[in-house]
Amino acid sequence: MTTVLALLAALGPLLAVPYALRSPRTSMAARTTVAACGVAALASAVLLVITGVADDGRPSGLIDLPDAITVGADRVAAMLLLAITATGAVVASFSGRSLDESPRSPRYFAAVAVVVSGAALVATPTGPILLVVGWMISGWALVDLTRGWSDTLTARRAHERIRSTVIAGDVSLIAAVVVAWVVAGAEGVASPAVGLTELRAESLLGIDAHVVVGVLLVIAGAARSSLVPFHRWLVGTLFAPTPVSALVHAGFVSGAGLLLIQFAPIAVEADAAMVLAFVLAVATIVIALVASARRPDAKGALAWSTVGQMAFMVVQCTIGAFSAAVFHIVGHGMYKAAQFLGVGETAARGLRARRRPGGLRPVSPVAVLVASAAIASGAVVLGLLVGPRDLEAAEGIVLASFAWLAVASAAHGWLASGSRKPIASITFAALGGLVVGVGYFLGLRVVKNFLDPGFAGLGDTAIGVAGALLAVAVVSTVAIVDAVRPDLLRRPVATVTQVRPPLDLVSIDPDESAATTDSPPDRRTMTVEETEIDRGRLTADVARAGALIAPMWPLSSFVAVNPLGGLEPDGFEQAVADGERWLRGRTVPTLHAFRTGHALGRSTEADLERAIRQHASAACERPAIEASGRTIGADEIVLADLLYGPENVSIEIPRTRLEAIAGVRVADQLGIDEMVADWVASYLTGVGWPATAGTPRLVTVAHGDLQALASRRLTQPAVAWLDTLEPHSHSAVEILAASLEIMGVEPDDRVDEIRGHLAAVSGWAGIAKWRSDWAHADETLPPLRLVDIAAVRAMTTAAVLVGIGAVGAMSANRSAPVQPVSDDPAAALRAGRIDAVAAHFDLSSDDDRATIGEILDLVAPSSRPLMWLHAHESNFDERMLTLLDRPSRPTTDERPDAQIVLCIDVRSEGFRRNLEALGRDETLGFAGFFGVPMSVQESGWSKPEARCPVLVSPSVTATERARFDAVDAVADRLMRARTVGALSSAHGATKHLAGAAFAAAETVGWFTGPAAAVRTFAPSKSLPDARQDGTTTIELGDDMLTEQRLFAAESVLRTMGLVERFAPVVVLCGHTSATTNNPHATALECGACAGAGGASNARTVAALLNEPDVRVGLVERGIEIPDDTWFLAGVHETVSDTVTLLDVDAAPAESADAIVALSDRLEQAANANSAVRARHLPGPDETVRTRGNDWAQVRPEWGLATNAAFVIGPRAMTEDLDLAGRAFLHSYRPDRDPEGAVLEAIMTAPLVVGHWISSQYFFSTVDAEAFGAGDKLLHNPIGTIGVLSGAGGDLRVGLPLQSTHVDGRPHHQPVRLLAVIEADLTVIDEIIDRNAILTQLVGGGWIRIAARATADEPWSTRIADGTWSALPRRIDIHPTLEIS
Amino acid sequence: MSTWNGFTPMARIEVVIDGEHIPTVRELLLEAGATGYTAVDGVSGFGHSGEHAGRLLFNDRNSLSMLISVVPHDRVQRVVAGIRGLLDHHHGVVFISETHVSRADYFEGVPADA
Repeated sequence: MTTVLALLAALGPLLAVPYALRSPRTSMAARTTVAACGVAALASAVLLVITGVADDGRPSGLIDLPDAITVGADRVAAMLLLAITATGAVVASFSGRSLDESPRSPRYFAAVAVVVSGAALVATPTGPILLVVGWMISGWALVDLTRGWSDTLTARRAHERIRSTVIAGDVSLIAAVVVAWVVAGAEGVASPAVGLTELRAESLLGIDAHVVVGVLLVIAGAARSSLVPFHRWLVGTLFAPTPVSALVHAGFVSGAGLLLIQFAPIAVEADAAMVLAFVLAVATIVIALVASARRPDAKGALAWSTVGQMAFMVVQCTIGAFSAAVFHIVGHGMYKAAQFLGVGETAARGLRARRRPGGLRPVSPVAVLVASAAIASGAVVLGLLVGPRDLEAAEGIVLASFAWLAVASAAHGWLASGSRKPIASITFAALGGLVVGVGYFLGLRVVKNFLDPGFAGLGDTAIGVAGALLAVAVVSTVAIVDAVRPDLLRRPVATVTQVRPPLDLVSIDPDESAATTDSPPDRRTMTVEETEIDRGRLTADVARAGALIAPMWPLSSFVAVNPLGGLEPDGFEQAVADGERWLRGRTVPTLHAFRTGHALGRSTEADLERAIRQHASAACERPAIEASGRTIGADEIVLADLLYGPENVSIEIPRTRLEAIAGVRVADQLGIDEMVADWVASYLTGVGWPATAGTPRLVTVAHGDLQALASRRLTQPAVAWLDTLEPHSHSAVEILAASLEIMGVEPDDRVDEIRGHLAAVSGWAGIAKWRSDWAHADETLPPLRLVDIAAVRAMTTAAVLVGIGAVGAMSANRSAPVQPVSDDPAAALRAGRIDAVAAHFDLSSDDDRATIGEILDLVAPSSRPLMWLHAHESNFDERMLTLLDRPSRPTTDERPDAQIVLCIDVRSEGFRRNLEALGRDETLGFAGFFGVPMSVQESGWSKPEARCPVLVSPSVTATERARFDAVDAVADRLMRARTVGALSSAHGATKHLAGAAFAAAETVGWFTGPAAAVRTFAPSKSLPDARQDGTTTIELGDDMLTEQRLFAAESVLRTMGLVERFAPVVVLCGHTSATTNNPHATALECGACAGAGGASNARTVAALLNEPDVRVGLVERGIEIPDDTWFLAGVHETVSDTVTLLDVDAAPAESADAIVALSDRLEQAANANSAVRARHLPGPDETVRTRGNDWAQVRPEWGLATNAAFVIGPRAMTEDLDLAGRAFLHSYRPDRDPEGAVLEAIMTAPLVVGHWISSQYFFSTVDAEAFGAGDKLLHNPIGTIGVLSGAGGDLRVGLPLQSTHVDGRPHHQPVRLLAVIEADLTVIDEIIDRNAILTQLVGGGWIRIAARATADEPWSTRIADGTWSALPRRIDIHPTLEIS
Repeated sequence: MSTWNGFTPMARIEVVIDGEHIPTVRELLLEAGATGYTAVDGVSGFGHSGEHAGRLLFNDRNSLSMLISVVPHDRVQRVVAGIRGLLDHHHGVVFISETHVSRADYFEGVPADA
């Protein structure tokens, strides 16, 4: 029975493998794996009980298997098995909901099961064969799990390192087992205590056999647990999805501990092995503590922290504290698994921390230090009194010391945050510290009492004590140096953290033809005045080069942008060409993607033919081909090329001087971009940044780092050149100028060279552009400009070029590589196109082929996807406009029950339709900030935040205050927020003080592990409230004059066209999106509120419109709002579709019934609309409204995907029509705006923002890697700034893959935005002509415009030359906009 | 430096350019050592490139803006070189004129990037 349980616990997960491999769907493979791991966990739990009740922890009922494959069971194994298999079940369940359907899924889940099973086997006392099998299968399954998620050179190298480390570990373990088996027999391996005697008696090459075995086990363990010299592999696993990291850190990586615990009887006797393990562990601790403190990325810091934790675990083993090591393995494993699975919370946590109310009067720093030390000392002393009995001295020293560090750091974090007045703060800290200290030691006591029967004691206590003291001394030294002189540990920035060492000149393969070894040309020294002029021009050059870079908003307010926005003035066609050349991404869909859409009915042959006639007119004029009695028109040839021709080939052209010499992949090979990214990330976050007086500049630190690296990795000339920069090392412009000069870049080539440098790190450059051009004056991130990024990258490449002697007069070669390198791909493409067309028409003669070639030569390859795009767009336009082409509807004077004003966001469209279908309410669309550009200071926030479109600056501040009857409630809430902040600060402090995390993580994990399981298996099903009374009011500042208030109120009402026929209840409904564990959460928020929820804006403007003075003033301005009309605020939560009505109890009593009835209708509309949305979201339909609560959910909603049109007109135009959530709807009444002033406001702001959103979806869909942020599961957040994919590199731009694609295919249809306007065509023309931004967008082909003056006229589209062309009316058909 | 009625001669630079290029001009000024500037958003007018609408209701970035700065003469070259580089590719105008300031020390601070 016991044996069966042990086998089931260890091998149970393997039962999933055959089923997972055959599962047609991800969810099935996941369920199978969860079930198998669950069964194993259950068996482990039973085993834990059985071994627990057995007196010596060794249960009866073990079957006598042959020694080679025997399986045992004890309390240690049972506890480890439970932790490993339960974590496996959590990871599999999490993966099942976060992985899309893909051919890889079955294998993924099979590999997860194998890793779990293998790790479980290693944790079980087994015979030699099962031990080796478990060890090897888990290693190789991990190799398989981590392969191929990321295609960068760094990722491939990281994977190679994982593979070689697994091999090293396998070889060592096999050698250890073979030696032990040969010397002591299989029984000696299965029962190390037995084997020890025989091993002692033998010697190999003069060394005791048990020492040989011990050393080999230590090497195997070091490989698996990422100890020196194998310490770099673990960070490489970050290139795999998040759940894989959770799995690795939870059990797999503890291999060294598992081996040492199992072979404790041999290990403790093999002094040399113990000393080796100790030395490796201590060295690892030092490296890992420094590295984890140096990582600005969340996952990197976690991974390096694990490396340190593993080393700590080994130290525990080497001093004989085996039960403490088990406590650590389980506690830390659960802690890290939860931390990894929840890594998507990083940005939200950072945002909360930023908003948190300021501390109360802080305790003085000295008092904080003294109090923390006293609290920690008290906690440890008390803890030791109640803690484990009979502690060995060494064990006691280690446990007490690290517990002291953990409590002291947590108390310090709590006290420094100033959550309460000093006395209260210290009291809470003391109580908390004592509880935690006592709890920790009690926990240890329980675990030790439970486990100890299984362990051999440590042989020599004196050595143990010495080791313990040494370990404590080393960690304390690191902690003290880190606190006092962090610069000693933290420079150079780019050496500690890299997955691989950068700037290794050996890997450069200079192209001989391009490289020259000439010394730089002798330049005449410039006069002071010439230098001034040159530097002025250089600044302008950087600005010109920087047009390529779109600003990127940080995750704290992820506003949509057109990634090619800076190229907008050049027009769409030029911009996509330039974007592709410089940013190396696809900017238009592939022919294959268009053909797939064509097959789905998104274009017809008629659409294509029209596009061909318009855009390949020269080719169409060629004579037809007469062949075997057929006539094939030139247009048919072009059509066949579009339908069957081969894809375009893209050629990567060197972007910089270095690429021209050493190849386009050189920066990747040398890790240059990793290094630049690391500098910028460290600079912006301050993590690991040298803490010298003042904030050191980016260029200064980069220069210092390069100098330090150069002496080891570059050559003497590079060192010498970098030294010459010393006087300029504070000025980015001077560094950039010097770098360009040494590389021989002529003034005319500077823009291109700089553009190349910026393009190589376009994500970080995007943040720089946002920071310098768009961020508000109170932004907390340090200043960063494009010139800073250009300077550090140019300096780095210049140092490399100087290092290989390839500098100087290269301008002669410069122009050559800018042209396509060779004509061969172009010739092959031409031949391929001719072949495809000839094959289609069954033509084979040389003459026919020549004729086809002549026709196709008139159709540039790059024009083919553009023609396809036109075809798809005209297909959409025709559907949309035909749908909207219907006679004007009779207007009604009847007052609706309520008017609901929702944001123009496409997600409002379906909701509005479903609400209106209930027949009582009217809806309007207006930008969700409701027309008053404001900052909002919510109660408890540290400072106001802008809540308006980024195109405007907030002009007023709205402040939220406690209502007079709720002052206490609000004060309590504030206090709770402070307490949460202080707790978070205490937790954070344990991560930042070197060594404090050892005891902290293993303790916290026992709580967060089970919590993670609950979150995974039973995500919350709660929905937002339908009505909220509220404890606060929110109002515009008193400094806003009555006249300004009136202007704001009037312009809001007039711009939305609501000036008469007011309903008794008018709801201004902002929107928000409540998602968890989602770095890109703010991308789902309201774009008109700068990527935040719109509730505060709605509340503020509703309050404004209810002000009696404002009502009176509005009457004078011709807007009479009836006395019985009440403006109510609401917020539409777009995952659940719930509309919460806000400040309900502030409404007059006579509105109460109407409000209750309205909220019932809103709930009906929510149900109806979410039922429709459920059809398009993967996963069970019943989860559609609650999936935002699920931390494993990577696609809580579709956001604005499928958006395609922007409608400006009265609701009568779109009422009752199903626009499938594809249109922004802006209410507009042309009859009330004869001059077009309102239309101008709409076209120059909401329409522009709509275009940004449309473009972001367009390019994120077309190239999810270059312009989208790629797979969410690989995301590695950097504070509130952005995400990396995997372990390093450039910041990701655009939307995550899961926002635009599902199951490997696009969900969003990339088309440019169609603006549909009901207004006089002349008025529209005038508005376009007098606004450069519109001339640029409309004239440049970024936006298409269709319009009609009244409902009785047909739609006209505006063509390139500014004239209008009327569309034929097709009232007989009723097209659908539903995406197929 | 010679003074006139106790005033110090300096150069006054006025730039009228699309609002979106204002950050670049601002950086040019600061790089060159200007110690401050005055910005006027949403200016309207008529000129070489036609009519320009003034302030827009919800868009501060896409209307013309004017930036005014006063710098010592030795810093003008750098600013002008940069602005000319910018105006080679974008609409806009720059004016330089002689001006006199009463508190020279306000305008002679150290360049931002030093």
